[in-house]
Amino acid sequence: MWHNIWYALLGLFLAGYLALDGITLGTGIIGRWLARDDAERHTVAAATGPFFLGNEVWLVAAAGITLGGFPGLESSVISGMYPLIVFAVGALLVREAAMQFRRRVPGARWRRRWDAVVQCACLVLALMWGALGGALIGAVPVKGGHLDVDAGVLLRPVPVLSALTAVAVFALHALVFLAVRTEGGVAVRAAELSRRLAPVAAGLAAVTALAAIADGTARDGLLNPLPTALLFLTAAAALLLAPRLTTTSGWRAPAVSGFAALAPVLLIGAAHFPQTVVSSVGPREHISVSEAAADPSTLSVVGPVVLLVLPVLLAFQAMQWWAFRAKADERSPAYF
Amino acid sequence: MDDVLVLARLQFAITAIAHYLFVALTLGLVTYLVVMQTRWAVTGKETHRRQTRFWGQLYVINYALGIGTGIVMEFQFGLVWSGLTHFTGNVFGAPLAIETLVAFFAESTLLGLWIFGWNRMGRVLHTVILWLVALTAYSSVFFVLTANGFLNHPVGYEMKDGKAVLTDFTALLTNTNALSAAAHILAGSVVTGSFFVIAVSAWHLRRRTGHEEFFWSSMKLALPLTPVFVLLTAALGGTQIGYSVKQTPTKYGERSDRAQAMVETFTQKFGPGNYFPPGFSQTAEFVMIIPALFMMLIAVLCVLFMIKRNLIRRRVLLWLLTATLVLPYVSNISGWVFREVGRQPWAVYGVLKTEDAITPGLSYGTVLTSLLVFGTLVATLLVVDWALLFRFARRGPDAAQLGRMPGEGAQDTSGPDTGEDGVAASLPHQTSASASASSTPSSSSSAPTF
Repeated sequence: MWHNIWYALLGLFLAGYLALDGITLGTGIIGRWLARDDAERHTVAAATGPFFLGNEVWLVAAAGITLGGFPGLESSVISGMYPLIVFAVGALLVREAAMQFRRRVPGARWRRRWDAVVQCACLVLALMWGALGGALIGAVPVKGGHLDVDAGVLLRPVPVLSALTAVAVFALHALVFLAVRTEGGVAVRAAELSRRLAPVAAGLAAVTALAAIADGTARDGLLNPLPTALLFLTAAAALLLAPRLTTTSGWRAPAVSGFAALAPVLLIGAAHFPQTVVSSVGPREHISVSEAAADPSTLSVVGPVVLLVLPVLLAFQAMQWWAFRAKADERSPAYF
Repeated sequence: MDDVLVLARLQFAITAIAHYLFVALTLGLVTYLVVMQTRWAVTGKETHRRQTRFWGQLYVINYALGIGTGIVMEFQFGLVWSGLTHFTGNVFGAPLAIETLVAFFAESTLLGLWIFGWNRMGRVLHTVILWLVALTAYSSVFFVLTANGFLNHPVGYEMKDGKAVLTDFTALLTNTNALSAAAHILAGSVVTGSFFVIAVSAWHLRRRTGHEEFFWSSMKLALPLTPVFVLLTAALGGTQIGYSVKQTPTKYGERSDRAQAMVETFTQKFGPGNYFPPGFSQTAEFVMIIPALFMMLIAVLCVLFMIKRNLIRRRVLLWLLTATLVLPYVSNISGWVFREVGRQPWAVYGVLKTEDAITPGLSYGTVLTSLLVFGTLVATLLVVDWALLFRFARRGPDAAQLGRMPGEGAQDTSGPDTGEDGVAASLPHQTSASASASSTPSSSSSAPTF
């Protein structure tokens, strides 16, 4: 039982990461082009800044859950995806620093240089997470619980298309968020651009899905095709719907685009369950949730501790969103 | 294979050392910040607010790479040391999972609230948030050291089918090896934070930058505490050695009977081999202790000169106090080298060799590439981060961007890019009158007060 609870926790934190840090990622990718002058750049920075630390930390938590709860995934997925993880982690490090540096020294040159660095790092991150999801939804050459480092796994059509989709989805999610959380020219342009980007993002997602069906190794990963397909359709609908909600439904709009951003976690979970990783070598090499999980003695002792503090953690997060719920404009405080 | 192992260890050493360069100061500074901000919360005096903002600004800048390098470290376990999680993940991973959730997740969220809560939260709530940031940071130390203590002195587990299984969680959490190290490290961090506050204050006092009251008050807070904490760190280090001499005797060379007996046990279980760490780990022990003696000497000497502000006129002493900042860092790093290299050739002492902890099938080129990627990035960003720290430390309290209110301390805003500098620096200047109010939230902000 405990391994399924832990698996749900892992899903929760990964999903939270994509939906929340997706805002930072998308803003990093598209914010530079969206803002036209210094006042608008200030608005964009003020809109996302307060949540930056609280958003990215969901990934650290997910990695911690993998480390403590799923040694089987740690030694297959993370080491097996070595080059991808190295670039992603490098980009995380660079983004973390660049976000902190960019407004410390006055002067447009300093800031623009670090803005470009943030943009690169966010782009690399979005591409890496997209490729990782695209690779893991299919069958991967896992054998004996070990995945050999192999760039070939990542350079197939599905991971590549999925990487591009991720960039579009995060950008869309950020635009929807900015349309709701900012005021003035930025909000108007973000809403407009999100409406134009939505079909592109949904189209890319559809092409990725078609490629997954056409590609044998990707199709082999779909152990539960029906729930996966339904989830996918819901996510694609969310992509198209979110921009339409920005004018009428306020915060519900980024919640809907957030669902589209986190959908890959649900998709992979639903496609494979009760397996976590599907092996292209054969069904006996699949890694199930209980095989990937730590020993029950660990899960049943640490699990209650985690469940006990979870409400407190979520309360801190909620406090952050409540404290900074007001719309941002060029006069709002910004630190990052 | 051996070459891959060397590269992998080098990669971990570089990131771990870089991480700790920032962590030690984070832990030390947050302790002082808690004192400063609590004084502000109680008295409401502007001087305390200014103090919290200035040192808080340096704290936040330092924090940036602390998080960044921490993420790199966390992922290294999966990338390079998956053998460690494969064989001992059931036990070793548990405290790390708790650390990321209970401590770091909360710490990071709360830090965001603290940074952006300036001028919009009530003074007391804002201070409570800082208290929570400090508490979660301390608990981080406890859980990380619980994991590290397991590597040095494994307890609370049992081997089943070649894998470690957690049998006694309480034993894991009360591992004397971990607890003594955590206490030693916390005290050492406060020493690092103290010398940071002292060094920056001494620089300003020596250069007569016009903030004598401000920096004398910081000096008065940190300097008298420093000898106390140096002594405490030494005493706790002694306690730690008392435990580790018995638990990991091979750290202390080949001469002792305990070490010889331990090697015999190892040889019976794992076959003959070299079970002693390279000699430089013991050198590191002395490189840790000797700076501590100088820190003690300098701190005590300067405390004596504090009477009637005598110290402010002793330029040599002030110069010495600034230069001393190097010493706690030397001690911190050597201490870790002594502890971790001294554990070799084991990843988990007496259970798992480092060569078996590495991810199977890693190629030389792969690890070399990641070593170069991480090494270059960490080195570059470290230089920029420290350059920013120096810049903000040098410019003094008026330049702090953290918690700046409209029109307040606008020293930096004369450039062409006024609108983009600092917190709310772009607000209309008519509100500058409100800057003198000590704690009331800015009324011109469109944001709600919280």
